[in-house]
Amino acid sequence: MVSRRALLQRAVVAAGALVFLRRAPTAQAASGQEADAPRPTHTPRWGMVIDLDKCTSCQACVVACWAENNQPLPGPEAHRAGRVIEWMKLLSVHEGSYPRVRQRLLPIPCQQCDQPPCTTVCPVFATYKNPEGLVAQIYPRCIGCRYCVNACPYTCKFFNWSEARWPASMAQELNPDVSVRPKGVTEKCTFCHHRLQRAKEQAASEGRVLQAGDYVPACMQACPAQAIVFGDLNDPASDVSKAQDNPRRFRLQEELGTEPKVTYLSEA
Amino acid sequence: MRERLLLLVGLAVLVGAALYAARERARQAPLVVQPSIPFPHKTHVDAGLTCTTCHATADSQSFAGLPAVRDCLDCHAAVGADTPLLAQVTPQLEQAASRKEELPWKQVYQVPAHVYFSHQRHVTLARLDCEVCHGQVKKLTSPVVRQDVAISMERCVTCHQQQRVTADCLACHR
Repeated sequence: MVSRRALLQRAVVAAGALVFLRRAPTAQAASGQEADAPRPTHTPRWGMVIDLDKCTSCQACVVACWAENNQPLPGPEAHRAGRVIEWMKLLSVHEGSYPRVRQRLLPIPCQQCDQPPCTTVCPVFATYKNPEGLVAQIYPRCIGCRYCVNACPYTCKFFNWSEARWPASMAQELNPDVSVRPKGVTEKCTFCHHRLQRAKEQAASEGRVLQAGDYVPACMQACPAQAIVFGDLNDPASDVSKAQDNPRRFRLQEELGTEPKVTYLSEA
Repeated sequence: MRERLLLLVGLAVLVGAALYAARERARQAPLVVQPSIPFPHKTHVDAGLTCTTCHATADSQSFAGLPAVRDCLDCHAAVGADTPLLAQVTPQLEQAASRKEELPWKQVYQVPAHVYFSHQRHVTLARLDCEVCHGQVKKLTSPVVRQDVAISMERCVTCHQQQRVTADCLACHR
């Protein structure tokens, strides 16, 4: 017969051992995470911060995006039909109440969601999120079903309803690094990923890793107010990570769980 | 009446299939171009020229580049015109140079506009030999009229997988 005291002792020892065993793997995992931090092969995650308090709504980003990405010039018919292709578009927002009303234009590129609703509906894998977090659109693969156009809660995907046309005087001004999309496919902002292709190659030919500032999208380059910050979200020391760490931050339609990689900063 | 209708439909289907097959075969057939000048690669390689002598940016740019008439004449003026072919070519080159025209080179190796292909990336960074994609161009005594190695996406992807380099769509599509 075991005494009550011995039973109690055994129970305490058993409970202690159980707690220790339970704890041990967690502690191991935590130390493992620390060892992981400076990984030799760093995969970037590209993101953008747009400071609306710096933005003057000058639309330089919109123009830069059109020129950079060979977007067709829409005529009045396209506007009437609501078929304008505009990768970087401006959403007009009214703030305040009378008599202190203010209108603002919110620049909206593709939000490059971490949980993109557009990629899950694509029946042919023409749109997908690549390892660096860019939501890609592979034009020759696209069958033009427009599922993704309708799935995007930010209306940042555009269908080519007609052949892209430019005035003859502009024929020589197209960007050779970006293909002209044919009629019948969907297109979207790619964070100027053709610039990433070039930047990676340039860095490799100089025998170094990609540095901050090597890869800059056209909208950021054109912004005179420097309201757009772009870079690697996986690097805590990058400008974009620092800019994101701000109490003024918000993301568009965050409640949908799309986890956009475009963050806005605004006091209001 | 019914048999005749069935026959007609069957005939129509057959004709359609044949037309489609012919179109597909034409699409997949290697590109054959009409040479505009009788350019022999072998003669130039035997004379000691390397690929980058004429394709000057093959190791430093996305495009390989073609020689300007001036570059041709730099050598050809010294070579003279002692063979029938040279006797035919040299005046042509001089004529083009005096008219400030370039030679009508024809591009045989092409990728579609939505593909980003960089010579620098493959020649300098990956250290691939030109022959991997361009075949036995060095040994051609006649102008290049078709791709010695057919360039296709399947070929690109197979090689990328074998070499364990990125096969992400965005690495090459634009």
